[in-house]
Amino acid sequence: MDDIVATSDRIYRLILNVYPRAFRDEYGEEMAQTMRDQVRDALAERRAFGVTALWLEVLLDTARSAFAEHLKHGSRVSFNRRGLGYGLATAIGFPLALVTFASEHVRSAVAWAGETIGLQTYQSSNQWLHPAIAGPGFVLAGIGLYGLYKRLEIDATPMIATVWIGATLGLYGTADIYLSGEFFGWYAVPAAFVLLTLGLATMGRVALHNKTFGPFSFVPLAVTASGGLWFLVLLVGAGEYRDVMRTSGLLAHVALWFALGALLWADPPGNKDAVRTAKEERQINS
Amino acid sequence: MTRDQNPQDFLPLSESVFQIMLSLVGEDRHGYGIMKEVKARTEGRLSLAPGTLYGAIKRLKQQGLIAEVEEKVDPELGSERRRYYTLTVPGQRVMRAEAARVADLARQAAAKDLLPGWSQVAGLA
Repeated sequence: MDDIVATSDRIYRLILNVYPRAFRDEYGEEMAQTMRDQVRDALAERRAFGVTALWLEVLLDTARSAFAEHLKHGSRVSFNRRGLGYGLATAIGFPLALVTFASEHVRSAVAWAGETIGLQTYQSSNQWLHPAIAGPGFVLAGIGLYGLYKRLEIDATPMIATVWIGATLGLYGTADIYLSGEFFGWYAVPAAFVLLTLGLATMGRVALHNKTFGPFSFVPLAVTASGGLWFLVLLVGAGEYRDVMRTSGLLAHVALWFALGALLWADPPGNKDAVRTAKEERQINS
Repeated sequence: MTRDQNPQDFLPLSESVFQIMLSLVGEDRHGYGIMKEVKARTEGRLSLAPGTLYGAIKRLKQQGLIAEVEEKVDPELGSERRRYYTLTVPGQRVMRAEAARVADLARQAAAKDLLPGWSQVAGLA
């Protein structure tokens, strides 16, 4: 019986991290104490069924009340909202921008540059996608990445880059298999899963260590949106256009994500301000 | 609640808040004590979980309607010290105002025969 109470207590203390820090500091200990009392009574009254029912109730209440506390907590939520906005801009902008690699106009420019310096470059007459799509994509991705870069804490950046690279490889590989049955996916998908798992595990560890989930909230949304758009692009270009996506598009995509990872990892002087900003916000919140 | 504030400014109270404050009428209680009292009085219809309870306690404290009194041991629950809460004087005024408001609503409903057997209670017979 004591084991169940102790285990519940440990789990509930972890769950308490979803509340704003100020609220947690003020009431966390008391909430944990109350939960222990509830578990003890539920066990005595209805044994395992009682504890299960209690946990269901508490989990639902936690989701609802933590959200309410974050809303009432003003500045932290606005920080998350900004993070979400930047993440969404990146997620929508990047796939659109990457379409450029298959855009006839841009490829013409690349081909011209290649010929000028004596290199053989890819030629295609496909003009499905236009710089009018890629242009706004670059702008959106630029705004999104700049915002994320300025707001992310150093601890968070390597694993976020890992998650994105892994997700990108996985999504690209999966879509490619689906559309063309090419061999590429056989190594891309397992690699993506490994990267993604490592990234998520690291993300969880850092989030728990920092006792904050704020900067990470954009990741699932951004990855999902990014994947959806990529899939759409692949479906649209499933004809002759597919070859371009599979070669230069893939390489460019992966290279860009690695560049992003390196950029975020590099800890240039400007990012010190970003760290301070995030810490200041946390202090204001508390 | 400041001296200038009218109890009516806080009305209507949500059911959770009303029940939490009602549990503190006449007796100081700790968080789990409030939970148990509310559950027993409402015959299990209203079960407060920790998130809702302490969210409400935080706001009621900020509004000056309840206050912490002391930390002490509840012998029924072991040797841990617990923070007790009490209803403040402004809190009592707000509760009286809310009770009067609810009673008035009940009277109006009884006058329309929506509450069988309440006519005598409401003095309408």
